[in-house]
Amino acid sequence: MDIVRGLILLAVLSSMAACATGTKYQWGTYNTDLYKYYSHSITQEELARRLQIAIQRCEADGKIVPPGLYAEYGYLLYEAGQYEEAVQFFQKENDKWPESRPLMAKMIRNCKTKTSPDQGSKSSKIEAAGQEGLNPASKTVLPAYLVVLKSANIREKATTNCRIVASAKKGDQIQKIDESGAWCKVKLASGKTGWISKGLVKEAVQTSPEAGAKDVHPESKDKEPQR
Amino acid sequence: MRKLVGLSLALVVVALAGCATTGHKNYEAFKAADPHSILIVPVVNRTTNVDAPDYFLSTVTIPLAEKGYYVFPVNLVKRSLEDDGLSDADMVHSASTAKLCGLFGSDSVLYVSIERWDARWALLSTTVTVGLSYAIKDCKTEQVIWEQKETMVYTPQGSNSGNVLGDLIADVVTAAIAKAAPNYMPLAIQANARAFQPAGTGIPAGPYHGLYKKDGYY
Repeated sequence: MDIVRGLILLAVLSSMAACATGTKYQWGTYNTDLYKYYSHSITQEELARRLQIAIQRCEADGKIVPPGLYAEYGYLLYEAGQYEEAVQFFQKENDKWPESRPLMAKMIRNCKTKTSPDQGSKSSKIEAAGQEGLNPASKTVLPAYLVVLKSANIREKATTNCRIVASAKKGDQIQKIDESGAWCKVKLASGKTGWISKGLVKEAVQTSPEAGAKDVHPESKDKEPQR
Repeated sequence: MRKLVGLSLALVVVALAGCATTGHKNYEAFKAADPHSILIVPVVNRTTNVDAPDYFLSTVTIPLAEKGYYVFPVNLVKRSLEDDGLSDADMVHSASTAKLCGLFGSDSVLYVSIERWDARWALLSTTVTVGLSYAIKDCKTEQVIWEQKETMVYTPQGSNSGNVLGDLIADVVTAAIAKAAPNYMPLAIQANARAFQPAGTGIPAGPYHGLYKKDGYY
């Protein structure tokens, strides 16, 4: 057993000595978290939380936050609709890494555009982030509903190569918000949006739109406490 | 036990081989470009494994940043390109390098293609293979300033313990584990190390590295 232990130790040591020159930066679990996110074992929210922790640890230890980390975290905040917080992190990346400045200037501009009310309604990301309040137009249009014919994946973009963002069960009623080719963009009861293949849905017969709307339209619930 | 010894030995050999130098490249173009930042664009997939490009993407930032370069945030870049209608990696790779550089303000672009990302299962041995080709292009000249190909193969060592049935069962178990979830990531990480690190064929230290312009390339 000692031989095995020795060899394993030697393997570990030589792999460290052979190539690595020690790590310059304190990465935390950035690479494995990104992998877990891409393999759907953690959510985008969890990825953001872990990035936040990695950044805080570096800052607390007085270490340089590795290139790109502020910006990655800022982008997740941006996607979650937290534009003001996102700007802070794009700014930090900008200040620390001069190479990032042209891109960070763009990202900060994007955030500012999103927070100005005129531009808000154009963004699909705002809907994805569940901030329907910024999109008054969507409430005045009578929503169209689809019935799911068999269990289906809802994808990020109109292709089967894209990430699955949610799934729908047979018989679910979902709101249709757009269409493109063989795909429909839909919004689920959870507020999530994504694309579903047209072959898996049919138009809902709108005999009692209210019944459908109550189940799948999160705004109606969100509004109640305000009244 | 014999299996463990074999496996450990194999690890030692792989680890040592990691830094073997294999001939020298011409670094004139690289030195002329003197990149400070690297934009890693979405990875082209020449395999049937649809998850490979995203998985691989998570492995590239750290070794390049540790080499002393500013590496653009890979997830931000990927998502921004998707929002601009460039969700297809082949499309990104065939787009003009200068245009990509302009979008992000980078000095150079790393293009990676995945050539192999597969596991072949057999009763007695399973082979997991990761094959990658890398190219860095300079933004100003749009020329390739560095390129490398790496193929990493992992075969659990099927040593004989004399107990035929025991070996057979052990191998079947190993194959089954690999089949459930072949672990490509260590191979991808090793391929990156072999591509970027070795003196003479790797990537010269960048401006945030202590050996910038002192590691024999300049």
